Amino acid sequence: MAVLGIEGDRSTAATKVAAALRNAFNPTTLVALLLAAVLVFLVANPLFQLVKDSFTNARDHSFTFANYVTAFGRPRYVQALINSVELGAAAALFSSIIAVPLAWGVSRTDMPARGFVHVMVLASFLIPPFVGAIGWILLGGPNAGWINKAWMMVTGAPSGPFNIFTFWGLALVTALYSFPLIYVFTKSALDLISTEMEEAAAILGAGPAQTTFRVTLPLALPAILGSVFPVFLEVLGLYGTPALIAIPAGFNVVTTQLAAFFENPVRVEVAAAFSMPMVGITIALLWVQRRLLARKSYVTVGGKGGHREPMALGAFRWVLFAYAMAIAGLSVFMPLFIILQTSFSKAWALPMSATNFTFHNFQQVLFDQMTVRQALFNTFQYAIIAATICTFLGFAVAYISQRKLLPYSHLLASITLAPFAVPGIVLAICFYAAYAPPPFALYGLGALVVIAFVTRFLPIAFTNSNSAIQGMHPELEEAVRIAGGNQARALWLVVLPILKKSLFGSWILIFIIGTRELSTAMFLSGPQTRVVSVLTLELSEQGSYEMLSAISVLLLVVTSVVTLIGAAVLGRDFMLRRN
Amino acid sequence: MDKLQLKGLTKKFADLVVVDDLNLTLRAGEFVSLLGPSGCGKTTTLRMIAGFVTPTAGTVEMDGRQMSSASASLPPEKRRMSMIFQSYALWPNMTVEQNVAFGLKMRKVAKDEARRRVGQILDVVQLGHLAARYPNELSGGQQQRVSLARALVVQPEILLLDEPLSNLDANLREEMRSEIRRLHNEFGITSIYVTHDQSEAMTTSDRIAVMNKGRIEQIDDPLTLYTRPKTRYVAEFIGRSNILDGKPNGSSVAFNGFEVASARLGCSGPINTREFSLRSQNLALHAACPAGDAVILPGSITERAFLGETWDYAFRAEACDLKLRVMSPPVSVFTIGQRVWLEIDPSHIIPIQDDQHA
Repeated sequence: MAVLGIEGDRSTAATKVAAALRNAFNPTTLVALLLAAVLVFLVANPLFQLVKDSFTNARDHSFTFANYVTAFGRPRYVQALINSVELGAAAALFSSIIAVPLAWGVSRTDMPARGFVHVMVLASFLIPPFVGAIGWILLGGPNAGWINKAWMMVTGAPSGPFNIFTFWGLALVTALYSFPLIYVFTKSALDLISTEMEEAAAILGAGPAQTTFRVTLPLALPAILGSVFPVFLEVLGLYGTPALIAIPAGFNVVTTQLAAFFENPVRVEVAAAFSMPMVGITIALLWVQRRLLARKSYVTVGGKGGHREPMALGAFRWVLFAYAMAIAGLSVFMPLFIILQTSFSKAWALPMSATNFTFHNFQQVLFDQMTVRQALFNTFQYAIIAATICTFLGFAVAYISQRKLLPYSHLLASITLAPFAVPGIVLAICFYAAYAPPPFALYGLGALVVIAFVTRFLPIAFTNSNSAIQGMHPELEEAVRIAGGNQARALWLVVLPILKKSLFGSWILIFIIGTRELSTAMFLSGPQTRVVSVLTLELSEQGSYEMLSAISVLLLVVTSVVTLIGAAVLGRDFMLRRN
Repeated sequence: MDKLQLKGLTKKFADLVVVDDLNLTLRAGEFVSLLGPSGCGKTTTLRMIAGFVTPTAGTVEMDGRQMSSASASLPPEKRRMSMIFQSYALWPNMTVEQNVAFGLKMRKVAKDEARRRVGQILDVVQLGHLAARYPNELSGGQQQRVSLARALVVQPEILLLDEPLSNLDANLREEMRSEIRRLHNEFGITSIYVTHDQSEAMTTSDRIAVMNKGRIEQIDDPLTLYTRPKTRYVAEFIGRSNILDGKPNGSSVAFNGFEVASARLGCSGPINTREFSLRSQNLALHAACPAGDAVILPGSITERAFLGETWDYAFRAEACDLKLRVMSPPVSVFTIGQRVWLEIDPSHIIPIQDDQHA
């Protein structure tokens, strides 16, 4: 390697590869090559299959454009695409309106109960979107919803004013569970802005409002934009909430339309073709975002960090606090209350009373209904396995590419990050196309769900490890090497012990989002490999909201316990840390 | 004419007294440094003048008008002051021009007028050609100039500087401190400069207030501060001093190993202290016993270090256990153990008060 370093300037691709081959028996290299193979299996091949299938005639496997003609031949299908884009835009807008004032209030003002508001945001992040959507169906259904019943009771009106089964209802519910991302990005940007930036404005004559709008918020703008794009993309690929709300409301979005192509007869190739605009939009937006932020990525010159006085808002602090509480009510208190209440009810539409109280739902879910028990078991099993593999793989790739142990290791990193540009539901189609048919024939096996989860969450594990490794000075390992230990020893004795906390943090994060992952699991889970999220959709179609609520409560309890363990070990904000 | 008055200014954080009954008056156009180690209260004092910190007791007055007291404090944006921050605090989302124009915009200066003044001040700090750049595209020294321009363009009543050079490397620091003094000479703005670096304070200031534990130990012009330190703390903080114990004995003072008539010491009036400062630079070593009426002590070199511009010797007297540090020019070379004669000019022996807060 030292020789390589000396001829660095002249070294060509050929000499690099030759050196790699010469080192082929080096264990590090073997590990790395193995890793490359795994990544091809997990990422490259499924993505390739998606594109290939979209151009393939399902019967004779010949090349064709027919799938695209079918996919975009009907106005109904095209409308679904437009609906998705509109939904994404509306939800991103609502999310920003919710998130930015809260982030500013918590980070830089004397708003009351800032810690509590922060925890409420964390809580709405922990509620799976489909659980929130179920809560809102119970609250905002046109006639039987609790809000409408309360309205009718108070006013005597024959019908309630609120209908969740509309475009705007869907946009609101979506935003209530996607705003935490914008909050996290905005808050951490605001936290990083040195107080001296604001003081400089104040001493030059800017009052609190002018300082906020001319200095503080513009400084956070790149971070806000940097999170609005991902929220838009997340909503674009969201399946659960639209399936629960848009379908009864009588309109389709891309994801529900994709699901329709998977109903009998399954038309994978049409679904593949139909998913292309989504992938295109995603890639285009990620590119635009990168361009937009290229010059504006402010590295704030650090001042004395210690001294930070929150901005005094006077009476307005109570206005801001009321707003924060209203948001907490909409996203956390009201849905959770209604779900908890329903889970102990015989019939959800009946009023709360002793006669309506029962433990039956929990008994059903935990003991009687084998399908539910099986799904709960599957969910936790897959989440644990996927989180473990992901954390390991993500760390391995991050370490190899950071320490440049292989030529072209940055390529490994890029492949690892690629699934980020693919919505979960599209990933499911990829895996269906690649591994459901022979020779792999994995359909119906838990392994298919697990590997799809691993691919989906690999970027998270990678970026977590990557930033952790970045924060660790290479001299720590060099000190082991100069003292006589080899790279493996440095890894085992120094790197892993230092990083174990952040690896544990990323394991927990992946476990939690794994337990709620719906879109990736949807096309891949067979009768024996169903997970809870998929089951909830089926129960919702059947209208079994009581059992559904009981499942939701169980899911929330497990998630909360795991999160509390994580928080106890790693600090309250371990999941909300921005990478 | 008095521009700024601090009267009995006090700041406590919980039980910790950070600034303790501090009094200070600045004449219009004066440049005063607050010099002291970290934690001495100098930055808190500056922030109280700026209005970022409300005093626990005492007042800040500007042009006879009260700015801060424990009960009422004019917010910073209404004080018409400027401040240079340690981090420069240039807004990275604005160009150099926008940064500098910000204060004028807040003061509602007409656009044409503002543009003219921005252009003018950027020329003064030699940054006219970089007006369209963003701060992160500039070097540290250039950023510092932008922050100076931004502070000066509004023609502030008072300019506050909070360790403005601590983020620069040594060469730039020397360049910028003369730049700061040049701009002060040009605009004559009343300035307060907070620093822990004595050479910065020396080169820029009309007067220096040496601070210790929330109080001003001594405030004087740089030369007086150096040649006539009033307290042991000042003597040791500014330059290098040997502290001698002396016993006033009628018309003379007895030191360890020698005695000097009071009239020959560097002070006038009665002497009622027991500690005296003697600068290492004001001692001379000789290889042979010199003539003259100075105090001469034979002894030997016990340690030495060559610092480039000077020799740092440790001298031990023969007759007693007196040990002194001596700074000598590079050409006067002595070896360890060598017998030497130390010449002390008694007028450099300055009586000092005991540490006030010991």
